Amino acid sequence: MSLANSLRKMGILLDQHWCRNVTNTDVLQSNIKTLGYSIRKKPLIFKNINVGKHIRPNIDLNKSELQVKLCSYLNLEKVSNRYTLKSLGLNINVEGKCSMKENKEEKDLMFSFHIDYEGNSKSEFYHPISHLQIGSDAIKDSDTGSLLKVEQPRFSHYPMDVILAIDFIIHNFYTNEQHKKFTSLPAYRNIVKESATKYIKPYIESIYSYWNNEIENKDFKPYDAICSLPK
Amino acid sequence: MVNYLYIDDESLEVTELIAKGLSTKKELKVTAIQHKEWNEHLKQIDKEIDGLLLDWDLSKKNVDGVKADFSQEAFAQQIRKDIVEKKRKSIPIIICSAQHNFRKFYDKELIAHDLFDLVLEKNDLENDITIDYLVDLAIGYEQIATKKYESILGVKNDSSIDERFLEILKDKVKVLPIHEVAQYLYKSLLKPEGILIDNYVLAARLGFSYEAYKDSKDWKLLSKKLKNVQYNGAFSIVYPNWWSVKLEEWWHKTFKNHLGLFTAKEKIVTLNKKLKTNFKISELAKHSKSEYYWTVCKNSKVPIATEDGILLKSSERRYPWIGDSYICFEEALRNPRQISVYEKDRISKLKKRLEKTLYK
Repeated sequence: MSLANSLRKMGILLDQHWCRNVTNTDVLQSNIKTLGYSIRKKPLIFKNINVGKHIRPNIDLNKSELQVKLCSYLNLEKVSNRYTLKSLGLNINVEGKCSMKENKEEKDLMFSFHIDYEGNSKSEFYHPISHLQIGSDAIKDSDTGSLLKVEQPRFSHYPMDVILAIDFIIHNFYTNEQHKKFTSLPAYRNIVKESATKYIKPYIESIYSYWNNEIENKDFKPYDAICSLPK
Repeated sequence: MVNYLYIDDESLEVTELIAKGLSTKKELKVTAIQHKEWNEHLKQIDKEIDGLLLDWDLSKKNVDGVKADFSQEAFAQQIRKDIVEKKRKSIPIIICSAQHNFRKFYDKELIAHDLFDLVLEKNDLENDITIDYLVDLAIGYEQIATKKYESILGVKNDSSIDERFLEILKDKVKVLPIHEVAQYLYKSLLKPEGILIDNYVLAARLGFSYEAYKDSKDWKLLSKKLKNVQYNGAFSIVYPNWWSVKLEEWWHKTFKNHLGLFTAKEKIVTLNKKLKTNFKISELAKHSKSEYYWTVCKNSKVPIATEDGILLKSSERRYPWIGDSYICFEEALRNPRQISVYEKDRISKLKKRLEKTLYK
């Protein structure tokens, strides 16, 4: 399935079955090119999220409006007759106006993380080819209280395109009971499976080739993905 | 009893026979008349009329030697205008024609689509089911006149109905004439696959082909079991449908898991065991791979999984709760002009593969 068609189908499924919980699905249907897309100006917004019980600071969830914002870009390149991942980035912000239990004050709170896939990093630190990092530009200057924010670590993480990111958000920010009916739909499972095959499979295979010579390592050396797999 | 007026340019000897054929059940009385001049023509539609059956072609002279200087389309437009101005009650208008390939012609006459409730060919008028259709349309108009969504949709509450659809429906019944609400129901609910699914799609989602079982005892038994899933609202005889969400709820309640997680084979085994039926799984459509059937090919009606469906070019989604329309591989190969630009590549790859196997 082409990039544009997969994103369009996911947009339609969200419109049909997840409309109460998501806005801006039109971004999945506009400006999608053969070799990539950029959903950055207008994020996909997930509402009515469920953040569980262990939340700090102590906020009154009934009076708070937390939502998840997703931005994503992806670029493919054609290498000897097949499309491979050139670069990818996604930003997930959990944010919203929250009512503090302690003093009933209203405060803008935000948590964020991003996933990057970069072919050639020239950073002075070790950069797993695909990594997850806490924080983003959006929270650079925000009030940290007693929390410490540093650049490290970069967790090795499989790459996620916007479809895998949507699936990730739905599985993490909604209860099983809330999402199971939707995520069980064959059309939904098929789109997610296709993205997993495109982006997770070559990543896992490249890593697994460290232990299995029979697997053709197509994209990168295992060390480039996980530091503890020395060359 | 429902009263229909049937207006045709044919002689009454012919049309009265048709009207008589349509009046064999106690629920419907059809009166045939010939067209007249514009003003006289309009006057014939009195308060007692519950529906109009119009012949598309008015090219012949009537018994007085008068030829119509207007089209039925213009006539229907005037009736609709009078209804908006509250000069007459809202009634269903059905267009029919003996013209060869009339439906094909009508499909291109887009302006007329909002005027008529149903399109029939003349030979349809000899079918018993047409009587039920005409009655159903008139009763559907009465249901809309109640302005209550419960009676329009035949439901007790709105808990499992898409709220966006319902919001528009509630607004429309407040301010628009009945025929406009009826058009909204046809286009947003009854014809497309989305909130409702037809018999073919219901059977596909359960793993079998409706075509193979439509006259069977097993289908009757299943329909009985799915009584609460069936759509019983306005126009449910013209458009027999099922609530998509309620089917999933029924399956979940009965088999403690989600319908979408089962292959056709698993569903058939589960269903047969529970209902003591003998449904057989619908074979995979040619070149298809997945047994997670969820829809049907729009042309051939064979069950297919959405991943094996080829997106149709005309898949215009007027409302966000409506899904895409698909055809199977075989139909796509046969009708390449029908397929979406997104699918061209997929079909040309399949063609190449087939050519390779052919020349091996």
